[in-house]
Amino acid sequence: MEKKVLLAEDQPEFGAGFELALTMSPADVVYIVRDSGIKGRGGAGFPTGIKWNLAGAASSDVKYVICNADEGEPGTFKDRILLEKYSERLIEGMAIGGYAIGSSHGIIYLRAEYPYLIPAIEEARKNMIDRGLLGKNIRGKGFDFDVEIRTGSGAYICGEETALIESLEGRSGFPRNKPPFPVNSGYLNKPTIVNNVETFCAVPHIILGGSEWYADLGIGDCSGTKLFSISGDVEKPGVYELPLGAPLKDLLELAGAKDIQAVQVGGASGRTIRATEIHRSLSYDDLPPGGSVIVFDSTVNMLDVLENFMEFFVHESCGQCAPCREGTLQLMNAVEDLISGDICSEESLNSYFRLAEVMRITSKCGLGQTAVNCFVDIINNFVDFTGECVSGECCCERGDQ
Amino acid sequence: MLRNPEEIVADGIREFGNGRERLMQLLTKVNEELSWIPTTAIEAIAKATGISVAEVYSVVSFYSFFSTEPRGRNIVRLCSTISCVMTGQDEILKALMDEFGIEPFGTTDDGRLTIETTPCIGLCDQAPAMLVNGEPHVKLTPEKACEIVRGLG
Amino acid sequence: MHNISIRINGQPHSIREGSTILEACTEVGIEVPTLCHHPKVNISGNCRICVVEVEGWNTLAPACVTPIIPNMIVRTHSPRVIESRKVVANLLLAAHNCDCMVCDTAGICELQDLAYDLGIDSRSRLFDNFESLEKVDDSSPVLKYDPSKCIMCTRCVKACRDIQGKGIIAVLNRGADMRVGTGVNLLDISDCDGCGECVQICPTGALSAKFSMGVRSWEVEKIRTSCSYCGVGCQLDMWVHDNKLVKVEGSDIIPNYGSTCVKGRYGHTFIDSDDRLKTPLIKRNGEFTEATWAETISYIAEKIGKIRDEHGPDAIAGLSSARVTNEENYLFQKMMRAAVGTNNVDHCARLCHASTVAGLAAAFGSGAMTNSIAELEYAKCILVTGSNTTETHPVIATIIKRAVREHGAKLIVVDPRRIDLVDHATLWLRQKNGTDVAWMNGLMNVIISENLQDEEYISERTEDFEAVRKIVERFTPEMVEEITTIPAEKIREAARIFATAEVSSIVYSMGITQHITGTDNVLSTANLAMLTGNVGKPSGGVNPLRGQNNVQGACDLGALPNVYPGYQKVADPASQEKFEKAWGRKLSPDNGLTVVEIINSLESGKVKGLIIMGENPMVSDPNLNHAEKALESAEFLVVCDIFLTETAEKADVVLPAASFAEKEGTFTNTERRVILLRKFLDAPGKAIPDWKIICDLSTSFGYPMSYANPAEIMDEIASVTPIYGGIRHSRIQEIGLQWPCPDDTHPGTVYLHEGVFKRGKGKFHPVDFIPPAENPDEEYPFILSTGRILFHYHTGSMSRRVSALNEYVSGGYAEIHPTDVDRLGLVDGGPVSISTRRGQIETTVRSTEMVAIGSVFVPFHFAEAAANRLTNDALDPKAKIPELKVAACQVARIQ
Repeated sequence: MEKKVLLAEDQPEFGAGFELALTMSPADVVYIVRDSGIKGRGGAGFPTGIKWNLAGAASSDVKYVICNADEGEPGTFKDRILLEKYSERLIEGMAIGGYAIGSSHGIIYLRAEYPYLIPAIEEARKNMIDRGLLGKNIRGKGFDFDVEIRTGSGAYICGEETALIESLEGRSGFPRNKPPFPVNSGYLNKPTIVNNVETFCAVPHIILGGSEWYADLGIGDCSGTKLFSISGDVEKPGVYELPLGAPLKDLLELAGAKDIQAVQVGGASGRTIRATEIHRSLSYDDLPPGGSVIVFDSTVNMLDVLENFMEFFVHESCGQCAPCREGTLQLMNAVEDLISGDICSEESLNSYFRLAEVMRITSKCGLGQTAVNCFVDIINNFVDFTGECVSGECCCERGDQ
Repeated sequence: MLRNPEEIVADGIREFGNGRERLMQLLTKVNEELSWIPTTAIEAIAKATGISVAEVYSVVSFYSFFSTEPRGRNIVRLCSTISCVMTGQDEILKALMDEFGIEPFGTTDDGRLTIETTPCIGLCDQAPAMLVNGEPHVKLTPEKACEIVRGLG
Repeated sequence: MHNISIRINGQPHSIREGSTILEACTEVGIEVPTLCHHPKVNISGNCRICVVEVEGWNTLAPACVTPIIPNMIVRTHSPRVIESRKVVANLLLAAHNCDCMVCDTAGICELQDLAYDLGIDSRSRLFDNFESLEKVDDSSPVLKYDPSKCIMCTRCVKACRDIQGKGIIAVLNRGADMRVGTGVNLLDISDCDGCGECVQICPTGALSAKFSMGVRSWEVEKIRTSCSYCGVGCQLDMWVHDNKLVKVEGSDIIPNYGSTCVKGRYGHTFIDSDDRLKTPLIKRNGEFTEATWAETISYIAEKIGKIRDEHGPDAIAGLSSARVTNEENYLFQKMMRAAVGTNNVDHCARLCHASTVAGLAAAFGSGAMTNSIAELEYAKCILVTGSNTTETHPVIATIIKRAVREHGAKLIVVDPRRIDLVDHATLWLRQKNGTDVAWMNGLMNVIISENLQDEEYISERTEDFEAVRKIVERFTPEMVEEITTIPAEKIREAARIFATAEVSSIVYSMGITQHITGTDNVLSTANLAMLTGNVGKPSGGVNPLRGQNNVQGACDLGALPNVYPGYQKVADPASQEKFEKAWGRKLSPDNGLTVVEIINSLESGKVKGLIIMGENPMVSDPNLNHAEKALESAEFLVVCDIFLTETAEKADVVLPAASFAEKEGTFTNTERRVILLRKFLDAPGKAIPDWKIICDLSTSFGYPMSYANPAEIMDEIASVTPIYGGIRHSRIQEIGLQWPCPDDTHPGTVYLHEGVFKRGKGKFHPVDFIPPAENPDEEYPFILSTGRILFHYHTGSMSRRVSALNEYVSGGYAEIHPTDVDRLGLVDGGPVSISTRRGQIETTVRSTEMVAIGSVFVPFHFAEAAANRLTNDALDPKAKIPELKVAACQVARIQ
């Protein structure tokens, strides 16, 4: 069931978490975040506290706190809601991050598709300045912090943190080789933390509620709550906040999913499961909860869905590494052949499954590694190879209906 | 009256500085003001920032929202991802194409309008959706979409 | 860095921490295939061919970018790894235009090799071919880009940007649409200058030479030799098939490490021009007639003998050449001195660096680059003045750019023109032509008044500093601004940067030397370098860039009227005695005539016979109208060359020489490195190497000369030339040796004056400012300057026979500022007349902000619009170098 923290009606005052953090040592702030067990809310799930700890330990006069507001995963819109209504909470979280790692520079990298959110963010910043929570020597603690809004320009790959940094540095969004990691050498080669909007928004709550309180919000080993954007064939699409680790079916019930053929969790790069699997949990150990959940009812041809997603990846692959650049194109080709009936058995798809596995293990970044998920899942779970060759020219043996 | 590209770039340099890390801001400024990024702007930015012309062009060509071809003064970006497709995006696109006589990524002869399709714009809860000059329009029908576009300057 | 333990393929290894997996594998002899990786450029980690399995990791690791960590367990050829490499290679092949049968790169293509190694034949291909047969960009005169063969390794982009410092090409678009390109333009109208670095580094046939080799890569023989164009001394691998040069690659060794310029890579087709001289020619009744070598040699002997008998040996003079080998220069001056009996031997160094030799010898004791080319990359401040390095020494310019880009050096450019290096400079000082002493004194004034000089160095290693301190006192930045027009504040800023950098290097060329104050200018550079303690240490020094491939060697080997080989003075009786003993002839004790003096003496009749080997004074000398008259008045003129040059046309006898391609020997590049020249083609017709011609001539003059080969000549050079004492052909087969190299075990000298100057103490010379000989006035209101451009070379006898170079620039032009172009009613690309008190030319306007308002620049390569008809032959009194860089001129419309 819903457990509203970030989206709670009745919330602590903006800035309260930051004010409290300022009474602690930066190291203590890092420990609280670490002990809360919060993992990156963008989807990759890297423990936020460890990230902050590494960046805090890196020695440099200048460090950066970057908010990844390049929410581009198909089906995801949770950060839009947060930016619309909770920008002050976001900036507060960034300021806490800055205090924790010793950085005075915050940058919000906002996707170009959300320009209409800029006024809300700017107003939040202004409010924070007016209240003395941004600027020089905040609350007399000798700590300076401010944030700047920068925008992308239509490139999904810039949600990958090193591609985002490249973009901020005035380059094409080609993900970097790692190591070095941004915590040691990020924006302008300075130690940098990059966290998702939702992660930063959660931080003030963690500071105020304590790490134990936050950890206990989740189910099982999971910490905290998580926002999910749900759309597709549901009655009440929208953003829901649930304990992390909750079963998928809870979310589906909330959104009013009635006729379920398939559910895609985690967006185009996530997993696509059958209705029989909706008891599975939304957690980093089971169905990686990027933020997007799309429901497909029984009328949907899942090959069309797959085609839409593969088109997306062909469009969005940055192109620098060979497996992803050429591989997405080949998988797209396979999907078109499936649709036209030129491929009509799993066996004849063999080379594409080989390709999918190689893309998963050799691509440079998460895009190429996960672009194969929808291909593998949809074909394995939803394509019924009945042997109906539409073109009549395919290479496989034709079975009888 | 549209300002000339060099003027916009000079303005951008004053506003943001000429460091390499300001390139996206400079390009965005030109792109928003002119709807596209002409060669003269690329050359002016290259000169001001010390980045080579080819490298500036390379960045422009990487990002979908930048264009090196002239576009209309109004840009419609219709979401082409699954939640919008499932709710009737194709009829909307067809209606727009029929009414305004252009293909996706085409520009009307009078330079008033460019229609593009774009991956998920994060409005899936209110699909189908589009951005018109950056402003969101949701729960579209073919009629509603055409009416909005008709009303543009 | 200590070693850490890892296991590769089951075997334990101890590898240096910080190594990548690829480096570790290479170290222990395990071959991991790569495609995008190249040692010369930053690693991209893009092709994913070098992936390996690391135990415990979910995904495979690209070996090229993954650092080793303790106890890492690596498998380089596990089934998962092999499967991945095969699938990725299949992907690349599916996107590749596999026209291997008609591809010039077949046999040397890295993708082809990979497919072969992985055994991917057409039957086992996994994917349909997708290659797009998109249009080839063949708009460049020298190279072409075929996107259908590009595997997006991005080596070329990095080579262009990081090695060459140009950034002409970049990665365009994204994903499957990715391409390499210039973006705004095709290659032809981009700033691509055709250096071909991208072609050499391309692993496939995507970037290739525009013209096919016409033979398969396995049918060629590769012979390493030295470039015959400029003084950088690039090492080149000549690909030869059937006595034809089919391709040139930069050798991956010092000094160029694979780089070349457009001339080095694509500018050697002149070798098999139809109009090569193939037989001796004797002019009878005004017409050249073909003759045999025997009759020609005896004809020369008779004529020269007659002049010597009637007017004495000093009525004969010889112009040796900066284009021919060390061995030939040695023999030529030996012939003039021992066989003819005169010291009247000089060469075109007189017109370029005579003032360097005079100035630096006086200040330091040695007149050459103090430091080496490679050291420039690590200088913290580089002051470039009077050198348009990008065009005249292209490969050195790439090193200067790398010093700035990669190592954070500060570059100060002092030049009246807005040269390419200005784009890379921290500071550009635009001085008025011919005011170099003033700005250098100004820099020193600031350094001393702000107490930034190196007192310890000055007191321990130099002498006569007080005189300089005194003279620069007057040269306050404000006073200097008045003379030079450089803002005083920039003088101060430059002085501070230069003086406070950890190590500063001065690089200069003709803009400093070709003035009536050339020697003074050079002395000023020496003063500035010593004042800041920058001579005698790595990456510092005073570095005159020598223009021609062997101008350094021609000077070293005594093709100068006042010194024997190794700068042993003619005026020194001990030297005279030494050479008399070595050569077995009585030698003249009198210094001979210099180039301009020889020309003047021809006119006055003091010199009657002239032997010219490989020079073209009819284009290269100042005040050509005068030089032309002088050459015409010679009683007997012999010219030895590879083409019938403008000068050869005036000759009585023309001797056909072998080109650099057709002979052996050595050149000495600008950094004093003696480098080997290897024969890779047979000479056309009856042409023979100059050294053989000299031997025959000398023998006919009654002084027999005979050598089995140039190596034997070098042995003789070593025996009489202390700085070349240890130079032997056998020692320089791989890389050259830098003089001084006194004996057979000496490793050569990377930089000069370490610990102590050649002359003992470095000597400061107070220098006052003297204005140029000719200044603009009402009648001749413009300042004219001349020089070289990238695409042509010297008098054009080689480069203008190369069609690709002519495609870049086909004829002469005058750079004029757009303001002047408008004011005078000229048209860009239209005709213009330029005249001085000495002559007039008609040429084409190039409207450009490269030059200042009121200035004109004319390249001197083009005989039909010869800049040297305009130039001033006023001489520097010490070095006798003419003032080629400043003249007053008129610019006028042609109706």
